[in-house]
Amino acid sequence: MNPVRFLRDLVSALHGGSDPRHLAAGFALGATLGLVPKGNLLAVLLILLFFFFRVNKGMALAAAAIFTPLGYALDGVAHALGLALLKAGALKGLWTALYDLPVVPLTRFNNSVVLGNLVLGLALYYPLYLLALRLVALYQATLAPKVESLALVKAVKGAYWYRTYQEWTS
Amino acid sequence: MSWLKKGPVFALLGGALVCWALVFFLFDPLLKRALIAGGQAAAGAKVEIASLKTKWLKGSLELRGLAVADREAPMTNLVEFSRAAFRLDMSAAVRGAGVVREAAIEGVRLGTPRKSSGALRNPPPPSKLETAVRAKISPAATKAVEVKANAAGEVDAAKLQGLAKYEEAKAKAKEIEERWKGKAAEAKAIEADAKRIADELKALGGGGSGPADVLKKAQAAAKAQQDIKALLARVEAQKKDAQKDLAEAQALLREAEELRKKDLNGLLAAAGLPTLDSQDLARRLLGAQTASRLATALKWTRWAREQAAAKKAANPPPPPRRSGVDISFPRKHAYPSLLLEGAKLTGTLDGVMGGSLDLAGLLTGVTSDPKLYGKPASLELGGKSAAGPAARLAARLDQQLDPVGVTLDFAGSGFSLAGATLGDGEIGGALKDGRAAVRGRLSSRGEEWTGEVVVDASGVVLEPKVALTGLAGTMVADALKSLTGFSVKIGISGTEDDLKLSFSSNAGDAVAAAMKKALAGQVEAQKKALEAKLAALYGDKTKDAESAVGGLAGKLLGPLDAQKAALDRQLKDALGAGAQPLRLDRLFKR
Repeated sequence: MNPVRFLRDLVSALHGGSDPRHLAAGFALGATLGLVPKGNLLAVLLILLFFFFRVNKGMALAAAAIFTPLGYALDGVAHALGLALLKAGALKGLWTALYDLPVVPLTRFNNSVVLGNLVLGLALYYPLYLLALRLVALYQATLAPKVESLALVKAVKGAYWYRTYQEWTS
Repeated sequence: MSWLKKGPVFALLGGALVCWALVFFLFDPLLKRALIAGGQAAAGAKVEIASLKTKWLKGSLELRGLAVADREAPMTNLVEFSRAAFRLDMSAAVRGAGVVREAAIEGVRLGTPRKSSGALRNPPPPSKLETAVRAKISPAATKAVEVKANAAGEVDAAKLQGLAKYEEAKAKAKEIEERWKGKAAEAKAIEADAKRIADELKALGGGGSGPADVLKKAQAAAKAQQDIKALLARVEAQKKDAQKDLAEAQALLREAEELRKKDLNGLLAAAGLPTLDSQDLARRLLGAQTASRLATALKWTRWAREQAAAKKAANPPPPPRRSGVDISFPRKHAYPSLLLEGAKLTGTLDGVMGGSLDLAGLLTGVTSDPKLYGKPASLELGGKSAAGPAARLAARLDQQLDPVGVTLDFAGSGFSLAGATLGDGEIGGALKDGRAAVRGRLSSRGEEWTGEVVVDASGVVLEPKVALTGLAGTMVADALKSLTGFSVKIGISGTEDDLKLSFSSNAGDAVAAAMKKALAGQVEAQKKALEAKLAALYGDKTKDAESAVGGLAGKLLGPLDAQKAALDRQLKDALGAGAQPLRLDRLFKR
């Protein structure tokens, strides 16, 4: 859980060091985590997914950091969506069964904001994945060479500490 | 499986293994420590658990060798049991609730001796309830059972309060007398004024008899009357002051007399002359034991009530998070976080009043959430033995009510009294035989207590242990020896702040009668000797003080009374002079 390493992996991946799909999946998963309120079993499960799947953790953390405040802003929408789902007559049997199961209530799925944000995150997962994939491709095609040629980037890459760090972590 | 990373999966499994190892090695010791700490806080004495074993998959908890020391008697255990086993409902446990479906407590024993003291280093102070019970039932800490032969010879005059007070009364009488001597000028002035008025009244008799003269005389008589009345008021004021001073001196004298009696009583007590009151003696024989047991019963009753009340109060609703709404769905099984649904109690109760009882009982409904559970907790316990003793205890904790109530009904009979002790080190003894029957009911609802406990003992054989010497010792020992039965009745009512306890017993009657018979002569002789000694010490001082205070009345009030009588006569004369019939024929000449 070294955040510097996550950042280095993110930069490296953006500059062709990794599969763009891993970056896109990390972005979409991180967005879902960012939207869901923390402090419940659901958030813990989402974090565990970072480690089990081949997603770019740097990108996932960055997306989570961006989407957490966005989650607060979307609470009104998420609450309305979650409440509608929790009160839907057709789903009552499902919720009741889940509520009576061991461990499952610890996910707080019965909270309108938690369920609403989870549904929003899942609904946005694939569009965000596709969006991130295109943005990564666009970045790699247009912006990455320009960033590589920046004097600051060259200076950092040429620095002794940077080379030592690269050798040490590789 | 290129999308799944094996490393983190193994790391998670490793972490789980470490967690399991920590629980396996540390959970039981930590739980044991927590139970000991909680038990000690509740009992106010040491709690020991020999071993504790949990089995997570089976959901079982087993305690062995649990002993709770008696706070009042640290070298004995209040309760001890060899094994307690609990079986948790695992389906409730994974939902975060500790539901005990079955429990068994075996080998329960009461009052077993300990090898080491069970007192805590810093025991909690006794509660108000315990203090109140002890104060109202326990006997006073007197050690007066030995009649000293030389009691009268030990009187110290300097310590006699009455003697000092007599001195004070005498001094006060002298001071008042001196002060009144200084007031002689006022008495003389009144006397002079009275003489002047008398002369004026005499003068009224002469003179003319014309209307003007008559009018003048009437005016003069009226003035004389006013003057006499003013003088009378002055005399009355003087008399009032004198009476106040006199009352002060007489109060001192009365106080001195009271103190003299107190001095005598104090000397009697210091001489070791014992109380002959039967209820005092009954308390002496049975009070300490009764108070100790009753205090323990009340303490645990209150503890149960307070625990239930605290649990009811400690269930605030969970705060909303990120403005969401929690929707609850009906559950097939809604459990409190802790529920002891039923615990079978089995075992042998050894050493209870000299016998062994085969116990069987059921404890139900102990819960952390009485509101959700909605039913009272109860304990039904019965015990019997082939030798005769039988006991029944029914306790009910109305935890679902507000305020919480506790009711305790108990009855037992055939308990052997052999081996028990009565009384203190001075009057008492060891019971060699006898059977006791106990019945009672204790109830507490909120702060209100009610209850009655009755103990009947029969077939008592007592081996007396009496510190009295001589004939008294023999007679009291004989009286105790002849005691074949007694009964004790304790009534409880009121609130904890104003607990009313009544204690009555016939146990002291025989002892009191024996003591009266044996000691009356000695007490009287000692009393007479002390009274004679006191009379000699007080002797002249009492007489001096009494005559000084008694003489004051004559010295102060005598002259004032005489003065008042003279003025009253003068006033009468003046009224006579003023009331002479007017001769209208002289007033209005034709």
